[in-house]
Amino acid sequence: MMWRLKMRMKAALTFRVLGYLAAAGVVLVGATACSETNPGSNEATVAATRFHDHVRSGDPEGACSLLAPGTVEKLEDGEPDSCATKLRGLDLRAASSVLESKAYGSDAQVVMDQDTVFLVQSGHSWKITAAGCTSRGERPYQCLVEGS
Amino acid sequence: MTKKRWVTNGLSIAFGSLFLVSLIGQALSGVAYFNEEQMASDLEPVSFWQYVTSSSFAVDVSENWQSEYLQFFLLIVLAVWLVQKGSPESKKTEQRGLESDEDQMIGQYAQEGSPAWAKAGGWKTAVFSNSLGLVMGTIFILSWLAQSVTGFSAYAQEQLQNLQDPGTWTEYLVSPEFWNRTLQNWQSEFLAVWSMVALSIFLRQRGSPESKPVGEAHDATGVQG
Repeated sequence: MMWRLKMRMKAALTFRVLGYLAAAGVVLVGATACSETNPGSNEATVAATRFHDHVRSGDPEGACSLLAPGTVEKLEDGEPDSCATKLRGLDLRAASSVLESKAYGSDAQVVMDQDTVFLVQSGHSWKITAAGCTSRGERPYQCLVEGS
Repeated sequence: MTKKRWVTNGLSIAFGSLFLVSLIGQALSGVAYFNEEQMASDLEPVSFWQYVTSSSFAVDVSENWQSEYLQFFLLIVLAVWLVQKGSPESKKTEQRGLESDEDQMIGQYAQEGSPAWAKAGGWKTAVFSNSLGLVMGTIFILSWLAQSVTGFSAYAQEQLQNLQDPGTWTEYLVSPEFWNRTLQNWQSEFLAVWSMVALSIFLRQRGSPESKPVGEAHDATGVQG
């Protein structure tokens, strides 16, 4: 009798383990599916909007402070502290409204009415890696401002 | 755990431990490699926890899991009907198919120690009779789904780094990237099973249940050591 009870308990334990595995699987799929809901896209949108606010108000220094280090370096092209001057010379079109924002991992794309901006998350802030971008279909965007 | 349980559960303990150690090792080497690339791009490194909850880590884990469970699912199910003469991985030719209730010890032919659902009959016996394939197949489908979602997230991130549009999950399902990841895993799993089925015809490993007895004939089928 005891061995039958033990067998039933083992079977019950097996089905319980299978249930936990199934639940873990559902959680895994659900958690990974959350990557579709763009965590971080709101913060990226804020950074892109602030960048274009600086561009619109004629404040290239403020705009440069939002650029990623690699983008600043490429823009300055060996002339330190020339970011603002170089940025002013590019004559970027100021964008005002956000049409769409997507973020995956630490990278984001914000599509605005007059521009498409690419960003990267560094620490707790979003920095712009490319701006003044024009779509070329499946090929990479052609951008007036971009990092290496 | 008593000494006897360490012995009687040794195989599960060993492979469970190897799995945990290698998963942790993959996570540690993965975060180190990820942060190397972060530093190369003048970006801040991520923490261990940030990495193991990222799509990069999740896709690397799930793409391996789905192929392993597909391998087991196909081997378990196909071996019901397909045989290989001389292989200990195969049934004998005359045993092909689902076999009789008496051979499978179900219903009225169940033994004293048979599982309850083997005796019960009806849907319970039907489900239990296919439980191994069902569970392996379900885990395969769930982990392949997880690979598709996490793989899309990692792919989309790479697209953005290259200043390209990220696309959608449905577009990713028919993309070369998804199928390249999937098929490179599948080919290695199928090669492993094929090797095992074929090599075990002519080679031996004394004492292993995966091998025929050392002195067993090459054409002996479905015999284990």
